[in-house]
Amino acid sequence: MNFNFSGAVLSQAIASGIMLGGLFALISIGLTLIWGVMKIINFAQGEFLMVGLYLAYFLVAWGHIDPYITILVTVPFMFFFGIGIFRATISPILKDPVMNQIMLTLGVSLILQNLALMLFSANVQSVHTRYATWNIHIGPVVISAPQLIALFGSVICTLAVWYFLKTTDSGRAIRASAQNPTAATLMGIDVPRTYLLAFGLGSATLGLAGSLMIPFYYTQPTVGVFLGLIMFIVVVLGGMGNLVGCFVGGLVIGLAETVGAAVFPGSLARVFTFSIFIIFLLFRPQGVLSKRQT
Amino acid sequence: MAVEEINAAGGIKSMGGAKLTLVEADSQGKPDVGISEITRLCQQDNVTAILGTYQSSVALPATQTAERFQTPMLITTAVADAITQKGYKYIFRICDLASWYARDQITFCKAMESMGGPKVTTVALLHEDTDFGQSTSAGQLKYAAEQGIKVVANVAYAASSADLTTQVSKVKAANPDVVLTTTYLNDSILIAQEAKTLGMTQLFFDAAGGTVDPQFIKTLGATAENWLTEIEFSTDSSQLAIDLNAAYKAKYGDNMTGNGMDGYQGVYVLAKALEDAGTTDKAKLRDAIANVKMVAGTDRVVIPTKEITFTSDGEITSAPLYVVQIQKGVFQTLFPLPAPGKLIVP
Amino acid sequence: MSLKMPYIRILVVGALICLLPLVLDTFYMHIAVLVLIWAFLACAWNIIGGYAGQHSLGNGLYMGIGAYTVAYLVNRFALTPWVGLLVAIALSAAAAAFIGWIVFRYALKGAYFALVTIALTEAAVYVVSNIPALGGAGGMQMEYRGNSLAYMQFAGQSGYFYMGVLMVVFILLLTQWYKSKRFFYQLIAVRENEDAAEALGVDTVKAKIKANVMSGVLCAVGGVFYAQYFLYVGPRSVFGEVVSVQILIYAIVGGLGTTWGPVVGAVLLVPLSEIARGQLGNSLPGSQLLLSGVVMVLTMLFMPFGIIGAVARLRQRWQHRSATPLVDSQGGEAS
Repeated sequence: MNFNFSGAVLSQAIASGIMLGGLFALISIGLTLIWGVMKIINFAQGEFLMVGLYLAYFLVAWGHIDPYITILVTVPFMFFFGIGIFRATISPILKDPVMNQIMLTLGVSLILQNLALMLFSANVQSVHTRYATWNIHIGPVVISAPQLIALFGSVICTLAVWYFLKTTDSGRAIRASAQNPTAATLMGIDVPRTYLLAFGLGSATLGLAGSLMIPFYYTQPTVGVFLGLIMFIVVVLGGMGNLVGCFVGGLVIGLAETVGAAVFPGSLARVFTFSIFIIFLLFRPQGVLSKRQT
Repeated sequence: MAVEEINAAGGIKSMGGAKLTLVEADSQGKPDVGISEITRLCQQDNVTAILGTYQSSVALPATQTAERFQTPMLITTAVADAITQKGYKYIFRICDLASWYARDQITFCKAMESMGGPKVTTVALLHEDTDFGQSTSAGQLKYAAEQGIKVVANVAYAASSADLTTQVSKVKAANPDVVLTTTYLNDSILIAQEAKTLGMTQLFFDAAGGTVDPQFIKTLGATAENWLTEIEFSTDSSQLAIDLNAAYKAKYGDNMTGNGMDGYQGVYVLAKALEDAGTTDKAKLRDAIANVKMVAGTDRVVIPTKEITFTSDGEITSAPLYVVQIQKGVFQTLFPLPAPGKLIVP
Repeated sequence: MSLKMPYIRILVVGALICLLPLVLDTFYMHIAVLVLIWAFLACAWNIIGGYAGQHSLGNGLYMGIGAYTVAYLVNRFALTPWVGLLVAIALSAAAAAFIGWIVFRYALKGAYFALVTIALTEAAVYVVSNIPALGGAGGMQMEYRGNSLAYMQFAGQSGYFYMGVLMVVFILLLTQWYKSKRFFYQLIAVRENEDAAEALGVDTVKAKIKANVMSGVLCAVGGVFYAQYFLYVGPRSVFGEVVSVQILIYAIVGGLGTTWGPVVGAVLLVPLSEIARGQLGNSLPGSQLLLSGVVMVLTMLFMPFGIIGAVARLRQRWQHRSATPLVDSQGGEAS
């Protein structure tokens, strides 16, 4: 065991933690939106990301499209993919007990994961792009450009979704349905349609995530297992439905992963992340930023 | 492929040209599933012998089951040392041990100076921490101590990590002469990228982990250059290996790997033992495998060794490893000496 | 219907099952043992997940505690697994009581409870993987000492099979007995409406902790049996989310909060997935888990109360020929 981490290691860990945190925030926006709006925890969200990553991978590796241009395809595709899944499986069980919803989405995640295994094999797939080696030096730390772009993407995506919810009619309808579906219905809002829209949107953000991640990440049928768990942690930390909280939660967990790795040996760093999660669940289940509800 | 070749050549002659049949099973990497599948093979399909399995965590309980069913089992890819240290009679291993990879890494580090490389007095270990990384790094620690090489950092990480920059910068801070890694594919890619990002100039030497996957070079391009790794199969070993690789490539589209070679060799060892035993009686077959002797030149030996025999533990007596360096996108053999390649120091 | 009827039914079915070894060969006996292991674990989970309505997705934690305790004591001190069993019961009871106390004191419910239990069982995987004395990530293998009841090991499958039958019959009788007790009424009251239960004077926190301990201890017992049967424990094979979900799939598909549901689920699904893997495992990797996923989705869409619930509903419809909807899956057999 070795605990002697120097200042250089720690500053690099913090820089990487912020990058990683931006990424974690980006992949969690969809979950917090879906959870916040229709109170459904989508356990298949990690597998949606896996689909987004595979799509981006195939577009780049086979279609030879620049990864950042694939956004034009991945985002709409994932939007309709989400809508399809919602129509087929989630909308019939919206009013069922929580356990049934959990089981259903777990079932969907098993199906997606193993379909990917059958179609694409268990092999790790990644692409070689020119962006991979672009670096930015800031003082003693180095940041890779694709990761920085993903961080920017995360900020922009958070702001865009926030702006959409605040200012557009559809956005207001989504917020109204989230607060009180019955009242929203009485006010003439088509609640099922807003749910559909919110779910599609939540899924589309993972299309964006797929495109932004593929230059420096990889894909594999099980890639969503760990990242899906991260999404839950981030969303709980941020408070469900809270976009700014989601971003803060992402940063906290990103830093916990990297600074934890600097301090703790091996995968024990993972236990540190889980501990933060459990402590938050116990003491602040409403999230970092929200006030305690009565 | 080996099964087809043997059958095409007339099957097992001592048994009236009996043909080999392959029954496959998949453990999904889960120990309990592995046990279920061994039970199915032994009891349902009544197989004569078993070849396999990939992960050591599956192999350990699986070998115990095979032993209980008294069915000979040839381990072709699981490297954990413990597998053949249980005193089982029906278990034989044809592939290398985790500690052999570590041993050869350290040996090579010692020899590096004579090959125009740096004088290696310190190494850092960077390894994933499932049983693969844990057992290999234990071997690296042991052999480094024996050879008087100082381990200046020993960094473990979870293979599913999304970012390894912190771990790599820990290794960088320790400033070793060489970095010894034990990886799976995704983490080896992350490490190579991040080491480059952090401007590390040391040689990285992987214990036949993710780096032997063709994807490693394909994904990283120039970033993969100069990485060292170990392979079990090299076309530099013999004409037979060159022919075999060509046939394999024609059939499956990829170069043959060490795993492929061990599986291929396993079938031939089994065929030879069946030929010697002249029966599918499992106890007699077991004795035949224990006493098998295949000589390069006369028998089909593709493992780069002169002859294949097993120790009383069921371990193959010798299966050398090649140390290779990625040069211009291909593996260049550097070791054992004399070797065609030259070490490149960045 | 006599009050004793459900008990007699359990004993008769148990006795009939004991005849199976006469007709099954080794491989099918192996599947039968797997069915019993998972049925037992699912029944154990059913107490906290089904009756108390607290959706634990982390019962692998207790199964792992049981399996690891016995493996460690057998390997390290050469103790008989029977002593290990007692230690496992004590440890899992302590863990379940402590976790229950913290979690329920802070009134974590529904999805949040589910997430905490996942986090705990996943954290356990990483903790155990980093303890060399417990075999690290490679797990621990136990030695086969030959046919001996003292070592809870049997040469063939039938020894394990009869032990499994005894265990499942025991847990069914236990569940059935508790059903007529105050404790289970309290649990069901907590599940249906916690505030109302509280208002009626039920100490809901205590009831939930008790259910968690009962469920945890029984899962640990299942873990001990699992370890003895496979003679191997690994971090991911007894701890972790995957195992935890597998435990509850059978209960949910069979029928949540019913005596027989978990058993029915295991009897149908375990052989199905074993056969799927045997037949399709190589040509279509993942087909077994894909099938599990499809079964889960279809069950939730078309039989939200599981097979038992669906059968009860059909039976009721057939008897009354009216459209009275069945509200509760317990309707058929609770009394």
